Amino acid sequence: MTLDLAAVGRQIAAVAGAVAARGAAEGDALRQASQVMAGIADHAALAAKVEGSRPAWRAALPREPLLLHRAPAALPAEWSVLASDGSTAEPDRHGIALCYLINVGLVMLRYGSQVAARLFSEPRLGYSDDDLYISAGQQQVLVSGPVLAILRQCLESERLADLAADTPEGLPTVALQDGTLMLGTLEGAGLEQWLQSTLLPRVLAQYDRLRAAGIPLAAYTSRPRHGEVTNALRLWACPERFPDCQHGCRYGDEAAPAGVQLCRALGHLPDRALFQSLLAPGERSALFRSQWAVSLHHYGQHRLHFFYLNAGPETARVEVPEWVASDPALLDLAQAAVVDQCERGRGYPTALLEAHEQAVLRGDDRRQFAVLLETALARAGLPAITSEKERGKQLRAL
Amino acid sequence: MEQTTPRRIGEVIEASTTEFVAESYELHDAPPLGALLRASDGSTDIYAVACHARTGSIDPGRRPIARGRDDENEDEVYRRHPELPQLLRTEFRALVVGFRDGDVLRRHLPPRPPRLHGFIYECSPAELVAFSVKFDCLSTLLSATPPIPADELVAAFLRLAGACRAAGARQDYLVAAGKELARALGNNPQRLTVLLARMQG
Repeated sequence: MTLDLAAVGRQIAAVAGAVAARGAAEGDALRQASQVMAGIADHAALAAKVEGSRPAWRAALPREPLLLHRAPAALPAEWSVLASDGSTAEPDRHGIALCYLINVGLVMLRYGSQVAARLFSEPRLGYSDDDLYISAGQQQVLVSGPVLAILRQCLESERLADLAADTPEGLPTVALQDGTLMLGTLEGAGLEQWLQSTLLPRVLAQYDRLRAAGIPLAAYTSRPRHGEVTNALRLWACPERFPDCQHGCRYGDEAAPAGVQLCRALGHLPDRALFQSLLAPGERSALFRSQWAVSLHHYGQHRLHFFYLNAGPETARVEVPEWVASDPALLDLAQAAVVDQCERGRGYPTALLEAHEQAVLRGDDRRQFAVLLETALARAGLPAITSEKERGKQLRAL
Repeated sequence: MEQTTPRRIGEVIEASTTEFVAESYELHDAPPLGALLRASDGSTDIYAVACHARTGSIDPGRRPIARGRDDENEDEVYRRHPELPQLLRTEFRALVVGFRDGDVLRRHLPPRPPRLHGFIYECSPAELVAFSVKFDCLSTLLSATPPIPADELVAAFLRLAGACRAAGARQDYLVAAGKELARALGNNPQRLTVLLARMQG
């Protein structure tokens, strides 16, 4: 009993007020943003402005008319969907043995005359020095936190590509991942180097395998908070020809031009709000290219593109690599498959939901894992010694 | 077509001296109520009577929901959701009623319970005829506390045991069984009357 509920309660009362105020401000910003968007007749002009500007935030580059809304194509009679998702147990330096666990959940669902399903998980334990530490420059960094999350993303892609390799040739198939195709970012020169020279090529090799198999890859984000399209509109609203905001806005707070005021008003508007009223159920928005620097400079043929999709109860974001974005047949298949999956899953893709269920490590799983570890050490005649801090936390003596 | 050879239907997932729980290999494929089953402790065949079955979610935290409102038939639900058979399972429970001791069939509790993950077979009519020749197991069933009323279980067992006998012998068998029940339940004529009526099917 360390949480002072009375003190939290006082703060929670303020949350409701803040949510209401944010809702009103968002409604206002949305009206203005929609007007800006409707006024851009030539998406190529916006693309040119995005490309030429140096914004302080990521702005998306439109590849199609902004008000485009495309209904899903019909799915083939026979098709399948693959999905992967992952979950991790962090290495615990207070625990009995330094190791981490990555559990990848995998799903294959086949529809048509030969329905079939495979649901399974593949755990991967990292325990050797090579597993536990990465060389970042002169330093040895323990794999945990964001590094472990990136390793998990990598394993999810590898296993997904393995699953794709088992797919019957000629069967239209879509591969889904949860969230984003962007790898997390790591701070520190050594870690960035490791990410770009070691891990990114491993991940992109998996995308190559999917492309070679003709299986479009799509990453699905439920209730996305991204504002890259809104940010592009902010650039458009700016009176500068090619705004350079990386060193701060050159306009002061006093008497800023209307366009600059509009830019500031749209700062917290998520993209999904822009597309909520534009898209009918199942429809996708225009395609945008992400201007994320790592994607632009290192992803090659897999450069990130995305669109928004009316998934029924919500507007979702779907990311695809460039080779999917630029192939109408693959793009149509990916859109139709995601729409179908959301219908079957009542608002969230069934295959991703089941992949999550396969991957998730619940409290019970974590306890069982700890017991297995303890038993293995005992069998090897090794003492299971936790840190004094861990012992103290377990003992909770009075 | 009537099944003549024992059919492997599932695997023991909980075992005790008096009863076991098994998981069906196929969804919704539980043995009929009252069916005679055969398990093993590794060396000895153990006989049990199926007394309860249930189908539900594999994960206690996930509940099945209605999915077929727009479907024409029930199979369509499973065609649209091929993952369901892997997320649901059918389990059945059985009361241990006897075992094979060498060449002799014993109709009382075995020395050891069946093994976990031991295979469960639904007995063939010939095995059922052989086991139900004597009525010793009826008292075990009558005094047990299965998840359903014990009398329902006894009636179901005797109906199946009667049905696997030749038409001429069936009535004689049920009459003999009725006499056995009368001896056991003589002090409760009302219960006996209801049970005898249920035995007729």
